[in-house]
Amino acid sequence: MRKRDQQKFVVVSIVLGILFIFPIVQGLSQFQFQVFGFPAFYAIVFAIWLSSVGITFYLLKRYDK
Amino acid sequence: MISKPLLSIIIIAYLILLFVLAYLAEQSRLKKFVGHPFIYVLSLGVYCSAWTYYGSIGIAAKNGIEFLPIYLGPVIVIPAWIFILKKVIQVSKQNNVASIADFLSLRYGNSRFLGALVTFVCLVAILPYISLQLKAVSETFQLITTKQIVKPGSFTKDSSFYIALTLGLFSALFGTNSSDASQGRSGVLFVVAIESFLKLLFFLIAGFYITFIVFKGPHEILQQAQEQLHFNHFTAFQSLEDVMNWQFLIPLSMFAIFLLPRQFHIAVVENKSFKQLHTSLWAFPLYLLLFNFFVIFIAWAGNLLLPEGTKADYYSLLLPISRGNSFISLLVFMGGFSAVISMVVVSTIALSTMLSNNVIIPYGVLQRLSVNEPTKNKQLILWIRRALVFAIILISYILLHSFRVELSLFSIGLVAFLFIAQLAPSFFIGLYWSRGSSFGAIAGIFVGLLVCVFLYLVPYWEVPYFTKTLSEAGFLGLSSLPPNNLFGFATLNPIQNAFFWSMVANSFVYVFISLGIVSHYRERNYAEMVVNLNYQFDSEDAFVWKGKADIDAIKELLVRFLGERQVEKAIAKFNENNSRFREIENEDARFINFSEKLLTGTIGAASAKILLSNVTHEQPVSLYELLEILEENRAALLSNKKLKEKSQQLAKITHELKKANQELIEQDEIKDSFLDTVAHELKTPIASIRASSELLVEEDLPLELKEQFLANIQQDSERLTDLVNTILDIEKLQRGKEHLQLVPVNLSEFVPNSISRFYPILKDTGIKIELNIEPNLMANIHENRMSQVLTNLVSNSLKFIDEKKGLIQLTAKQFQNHIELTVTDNGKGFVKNDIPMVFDKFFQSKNQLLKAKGSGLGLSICKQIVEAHNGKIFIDENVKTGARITIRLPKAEVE
Repeated sequence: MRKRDQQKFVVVSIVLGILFIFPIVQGLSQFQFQVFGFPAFYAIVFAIWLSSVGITFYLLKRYDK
Repeated sequence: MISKPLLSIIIIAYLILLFVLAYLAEQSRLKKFVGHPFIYVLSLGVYCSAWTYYGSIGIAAKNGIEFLPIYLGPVIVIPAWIFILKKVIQVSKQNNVASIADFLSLRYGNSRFLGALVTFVCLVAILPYISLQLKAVSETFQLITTKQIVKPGSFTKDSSFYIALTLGLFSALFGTNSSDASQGRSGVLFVVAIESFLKLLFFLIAGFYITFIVFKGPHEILQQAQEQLHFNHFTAFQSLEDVMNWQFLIPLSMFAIFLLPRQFHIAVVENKSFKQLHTSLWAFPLYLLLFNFFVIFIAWAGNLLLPEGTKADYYSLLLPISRGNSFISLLVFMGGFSAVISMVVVSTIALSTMLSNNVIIPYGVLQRLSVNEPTKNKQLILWIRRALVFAIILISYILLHSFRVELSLFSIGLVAFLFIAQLAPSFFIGLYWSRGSSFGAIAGIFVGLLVCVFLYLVPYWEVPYFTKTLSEAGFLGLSSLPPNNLFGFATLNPIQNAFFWSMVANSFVYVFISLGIVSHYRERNYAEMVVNLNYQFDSEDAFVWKGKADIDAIKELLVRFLGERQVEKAIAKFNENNSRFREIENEDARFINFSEKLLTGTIGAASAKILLSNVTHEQPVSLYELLEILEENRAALLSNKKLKEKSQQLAKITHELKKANQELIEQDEIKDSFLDTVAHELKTPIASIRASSELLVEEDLPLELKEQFLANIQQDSERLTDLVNTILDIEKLQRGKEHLQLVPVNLSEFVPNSISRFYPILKDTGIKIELNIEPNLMANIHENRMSQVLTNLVSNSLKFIDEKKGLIQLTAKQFQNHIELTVTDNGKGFVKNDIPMVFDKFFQSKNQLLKAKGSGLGLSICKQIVEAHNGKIFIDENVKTGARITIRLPKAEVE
């Protein structure tokens, strides 16, 4: 894989690091809705987590030749 | 409840199964599974020890969201593995690195002391951690058999003692069967992967049982939790300490996923390809996500259903027990047991390798090894490692009984992470900063450890003198520096306080000393090899060594540790790979670097360096000289790379030129053949015209004959004109000189009109023409040219069908992206071998009837016209009787 393609994965890490930083996470805990019994906080954290899996999988399919 | 004998039998059967699986994997019977990327991903699941399996629920039940950062740290950093871990794997594979201590020792110039210090840090961090795993097995064994935790009277009555011994046996059998510790252990890897799968599966089953069978689903648990518990406590930060915990645990767990000896062992030493690493980038976070799916529901269910004061760590086990479901409780126990086995086995293997290669051999038995026989050396090294495995497990077992009872799985896990994090500055900064020196790394780690001890361990263990003195008088007697309120940071709890200040002190000391003290040239050489790792070149290219090497003595040394056969094999491979370097001055350097790497897996990097220095006469170089040589090497490699790229470009151009030349030759042959055919076609009518005109000159020729000859001349002239016009048309179309003006035409009107000219001539025959055209079908065509195509195709069909029963069908259909026109007849059909050539100019099948003879240009001009419409014409080979020619045209754009 080319270096510039590898950098996209590092960007994913940086974005995740920003999303899980405490002011943002604290903001999440203010939401009151629920999804399938998961309170908003957990639903959002798990959704971001799952999205990171999807994005990494997509990047690998696209750039890992 | 399950009886003790039954549970013991189940455990023994499970352990026997693991032994068999490990044996089969070692024997290569399961080799194709062992190398699979998913086996690697599952093995990485060794991160989820009993701490995760039981402890996460405990923390979720007590402190809510605080259990998440331990997973989020790895989830954040794993995508970046492609950058960081890839480099670590590459360096480790090139240098036969067998542990994190080997890696750090190698990066800092094969430093013996640093290797030993890293081993010490790992031991301090991991021994209590292993104890906690054994404790978890012991307690869950008691819970599932007697519903209560009782301290066993003596070790002979303690189930965890026998389990510990069995795990020691397993690690010794499958983890220490090769003296080269850098080689993967497929048996262990396979078993760890199976266990990771089972623990996840059993945890999910338990979660499903509690969520959907004990309760009616997550909604019910959530509703009851909101009504009966202090729910806000579980979904939000309650205090600044909670916020700080979240923020500190994330980097702590990020470091742990790289630096824990068991993680390094699986992720780096057991890695076999980059494909495995790439798969783990998405699959491992997914594994961790699944592991967390039911955690909150189990925790809340435990809080709701179990009496207050129940140990929250074991809710997943106690909930099925309280419902009388022995089967689910057995599954939960076996899942936790699997988590413990994999953690203990991999950790003991990693620690025993570190201890043997970085402490026992370099500081103890190296001199003895250097004079021993090869077979004795191998055996001695293996027995050292086996003894260490049992020693580690026994010490952990002894520690287990010296822990204070209230210590939770979570807090001991955190302490392990805290100590391991002390390796982070020298590991991560050292990967990208070549000036980072071994002095800096050693001092940084020392200072970091001291800070941890004074800020966390001393207050925690309540060491009377120190605690009192420190908290009252502060560090160095400065009242402003008490451990729990350093520089006024009173908001941090002890572990956060220790983590923060140890990282600051460690990093500062590391950078400051590295900048202040110029490192030894050899150390800098290794630093450059790691920092400026070039994936396309071997590390031997970057090894700078000047002096005289006694090659025979080095070979003798290698044989002493690896055996004659293995050395011969390795040297043959080395010679093969390095044939391009013969007769150049760095041959000795390459051989020394190669020998060092060979020995590293068996005796560690530091010992390898010491032994080789005994049989070589190295001429020291200055740091300046070293950097200059490295710069020259780098420039040479860069220019080599550029030359290689240029040569590849040239090869590509040459290939294209050859191809173009071949095409020109073929075109030339086609042109010659075309001229021959045209000449031949023109010659026949001209000869006929000439003969007729010569006869017409004779005066006594009867008038009737004269008229006939004139008619012949006229017919041949017309034939000539037709022929010449057709050739000109083909050439014009082929060269693109004639640009067809395409207009939208309704095919349901156009096709019948085009073939109407045939009806008068077919009147007296039995030939039928059927039309099947979709109504209002529009196509962009040139009416005259397309009409010519249809006429040619129908004329062609007429030549080959029976006059009495002949049938020609014309169809036109619209598809999603194109329109298809077909002309099908029930005639002779095409001969299969002729099909590829029928659209060639002047092609005439040898199998056609005399009446069917034509110019051989009809289908060729059809092809040119259809292609000028951006379409395609082809013969349907699937038609069994008769022939079918299909024209595929682009769909007309409807406005």
